[in-house]
Amino acid sequence: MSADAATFRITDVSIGYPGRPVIDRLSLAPLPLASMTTLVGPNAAGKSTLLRGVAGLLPARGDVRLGNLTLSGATRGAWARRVGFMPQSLPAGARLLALEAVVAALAASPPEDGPPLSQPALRARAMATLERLGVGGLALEPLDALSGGQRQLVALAQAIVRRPAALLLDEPTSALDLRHQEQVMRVARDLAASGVIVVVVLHDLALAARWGNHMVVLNQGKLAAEGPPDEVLTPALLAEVYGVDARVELCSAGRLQIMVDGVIDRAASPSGGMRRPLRPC
Amino acid sequence: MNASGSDNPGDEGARILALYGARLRRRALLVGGLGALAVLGLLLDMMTGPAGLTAAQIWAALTWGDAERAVQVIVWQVRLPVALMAVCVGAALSLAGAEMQTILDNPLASPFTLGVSAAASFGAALAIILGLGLSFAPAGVAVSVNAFLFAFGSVLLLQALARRAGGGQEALVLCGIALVFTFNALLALVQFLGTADALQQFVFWSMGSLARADMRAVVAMGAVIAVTLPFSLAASWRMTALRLGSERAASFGINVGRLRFLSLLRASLLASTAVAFVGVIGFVGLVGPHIARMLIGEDHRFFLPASALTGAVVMSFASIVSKMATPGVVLPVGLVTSLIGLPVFLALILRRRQT
Repeated sequence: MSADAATFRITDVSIGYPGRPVIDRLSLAPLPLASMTTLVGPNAAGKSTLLRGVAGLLPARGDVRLGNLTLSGATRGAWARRVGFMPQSLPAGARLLALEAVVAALAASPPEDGPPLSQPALRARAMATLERLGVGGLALEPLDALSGGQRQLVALAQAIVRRPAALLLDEPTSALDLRHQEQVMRVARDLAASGVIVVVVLHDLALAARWGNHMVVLNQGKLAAEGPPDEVLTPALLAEVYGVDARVELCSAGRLQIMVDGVIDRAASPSGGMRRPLRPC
Repeated sequence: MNASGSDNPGDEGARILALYGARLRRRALLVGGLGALAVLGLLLDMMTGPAGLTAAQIWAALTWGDAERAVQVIVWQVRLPVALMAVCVGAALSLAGAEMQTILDNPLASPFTLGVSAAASFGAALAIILGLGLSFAPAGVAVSVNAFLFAFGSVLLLQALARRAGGGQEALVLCGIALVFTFNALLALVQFLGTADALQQFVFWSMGSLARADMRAVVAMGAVIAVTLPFSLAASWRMTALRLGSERAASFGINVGRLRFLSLLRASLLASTAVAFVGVIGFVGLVGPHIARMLIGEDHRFFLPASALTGAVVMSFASIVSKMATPGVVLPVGLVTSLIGLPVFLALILRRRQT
């Protein structure tokens, strides 16, 4: 892969819904090969909208490109083959086996180059992907019989089975307990280490700081900050973006921890805010 | 990688894939079994009627063997068109229902949910009650032509309305419901203006009957199925992926809007043609896909043909019952599908819950 092909660029991008713009002319630093970017921000900041727009699921103006391939110039199939997307919602109600759900993701659009895979090859790759995520034993279980965490892993298998160069994950840990959170984030980091450009929307700032090597903070559809997590996450930023009075400290394991001491009443003091203590720490 | 990893599963994965292969073979056998059941239904349907015929007599008539002239006339002109039409209409309605349930993500969807039936009824009522129709349509098929044009036209109108309303399955369902009420109101208006005789004719048409089938209609219905089924099967993986949600399917590279449009076009062509030839036959388009889903799951490579065959079986046996229920009288098959099929359907659902 050339150096150019290894970069994901989002430049001057606007995304929204009819009559309701959400992302306004956003530009991010190029996301390099083998990077793991966490996308954070308060509710309604536009995180999921940005991800869906970049995935080609919402109309996006501006320049989104992966190497030489541009979102505006690529067909839906060509973009989907390079850019994997895992929506926040989990599939429900389909009478399909976990294996079939992954095969369907692979068979729905033919490969970028070369002849289409044979049925046995499709099944083998889907099975190998499920095994890689530690849920191979569930391959013949109906989707509806799986727990939320197991379905999340099957959904992740659907997103990576086509071997995308960039992978966009929309709150992949939202329905998961601690163990499954750890498992999903470890898989995402391994994918990044193997060369994939991974972008993950997360609500948990400590989780985002721990797993990402690059952090993007959105607020009201605009870029609030980006860079290494330990540089981005500051009390000033948390006050400005989240409206909380918080401390950012290192725990005994050397990881960033966020401790919220109170909320800032912006209505009482637009300039700096008035602190309302939650509880002593 | 890209997000690679090996293409080869481990030993346990290979064992699971072997089990899955066996499961696929069982599904294929199940589809074959449904096909055999449809053929059995076709034969039994041909044997059933006021002049009881044996399988041997029917075989002799069909092969121009040693059969009486009267038997040949009964088989070729009466029994065969009705029996074949039952199979074709059942397959068409059920296949249409399967596609609509998938694209609308709604297990209650059927060819008639979106106003196809109401539009066809309105078209037929115009011809039967007011004598309005295309001047160049032959007198014998004017009702069918009207029913088809209105049914198919209603789907095109639905597509246009849904697109203006933002597309998506919710827009389709809401606009479809609006069309149902609109065509029902127009139908009531036409009925209000009609004479008693014309109304009686229309009521009989609207009950749905295979008795009006002839070989031309069978060939036309069969041709529509033969044209649409390959396209349905070609889209089977995309339809399977759509069951995982529109957004997820789009993220796999599927043009969901186009997939929905083409699927709805196929379903409406199938349903419109069926309604045009035999009138309104409800329930088959709803129950056929449900039975197929319970038997075989939603891998659409198997689900779509299984739905078509299940519909064919249901209609064949409904046709048999319609001839046997009341001696000397052939009940409208649309009544039978509803009266007999509904309890069977409920029993299947209750049994599934218990297991």
